[in-house]
Amino acid sequence: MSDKYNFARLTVLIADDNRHMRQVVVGILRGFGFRNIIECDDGSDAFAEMRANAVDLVLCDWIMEPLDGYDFTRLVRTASDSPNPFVPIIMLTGHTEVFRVMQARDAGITEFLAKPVSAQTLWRRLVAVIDHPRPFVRAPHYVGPDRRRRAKPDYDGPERRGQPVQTTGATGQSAGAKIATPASGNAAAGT
Amino acid sequence: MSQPPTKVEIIMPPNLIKAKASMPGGLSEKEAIKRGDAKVQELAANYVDWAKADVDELQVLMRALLQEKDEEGRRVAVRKLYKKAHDIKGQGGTFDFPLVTMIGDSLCNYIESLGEDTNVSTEVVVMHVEAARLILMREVKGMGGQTEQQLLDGLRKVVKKTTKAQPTG
Repeated sequence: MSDKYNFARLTVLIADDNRHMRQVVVGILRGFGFRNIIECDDGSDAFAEMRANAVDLVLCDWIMEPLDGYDFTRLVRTASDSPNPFVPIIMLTGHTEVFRVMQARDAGITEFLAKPVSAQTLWRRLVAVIDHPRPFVRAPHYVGPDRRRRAKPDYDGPERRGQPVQTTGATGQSAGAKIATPASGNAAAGT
Repeated sequence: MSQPPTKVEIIMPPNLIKAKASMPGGLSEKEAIKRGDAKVQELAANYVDWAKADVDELQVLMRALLQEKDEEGRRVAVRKLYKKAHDIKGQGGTFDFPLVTMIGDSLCNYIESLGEDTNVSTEVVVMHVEAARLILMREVKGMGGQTEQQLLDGLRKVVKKTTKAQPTG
């Protein structure tokens, strides 16, 4: 990829119940060249907007009512009527404790961005989503981007994932998606 | 929710956003961040006013909590108080007011430390409110000086003392 990014054709959805925070994020995104920005107050509004619009990317807060960012992410990833289970979700939150980051990861977020945000930190997460997409995992206890960021060549535990399975083109299954070869090495953290 | 899968599937969805973002006419990292920062600067002019309003709101929410008799109502009031502190924490640093973020963080930590207990100390909340007001009134950017550090130390001590004194509920 060239080192330039054109966001004019992307549609981004922002779910945050704080109007000022949305203003900040929208401002930065407009600076980056985004034109199509949908704003929502909470996860349920965001889910409804996703059903009405082709959303390429979601930025969501954690604490929102009635539906928070955690449950929204789980809904997008696992609901039978989810319009796009694979959509990249960047969670913007003031919760920076390790257990919170792991909770968000286990809900199926793609990237985590600690508030306060800056143009630089937001840019880096966007570029990570675009340039380093991870395979998507559907497992009995987890649905979302592969939680393994890197292979561990020295991992000698059991490979729990077995062989990848071809999905169908049913709702949320993204017809035409190809199957990735499981990353070599450590599978313990992923599923 | 749909039925959970019974076996592990690994899928590589098509990277449509990369295709869209690769169109000509894009911005380099340096250009984009410069433009993003400029937008933040435009908003910075309003930040102090809206942060002051958020801090005032903290005090209103504390009063509302004190008036709540019903336990469920108190839990809701504590959640609102926590949410407001969390909002204050989440914005200060963006506008070079890290002390405001630290004050918000301190109040969040205090409320979290209470667990299910809804007996939030008015003294702790008021001290955080006053500290944030002072920083915003003086428009202290960055980490401030000795006075501001003493202010933060004072907050830490009050939180520590109150947390120790408070019976766990």
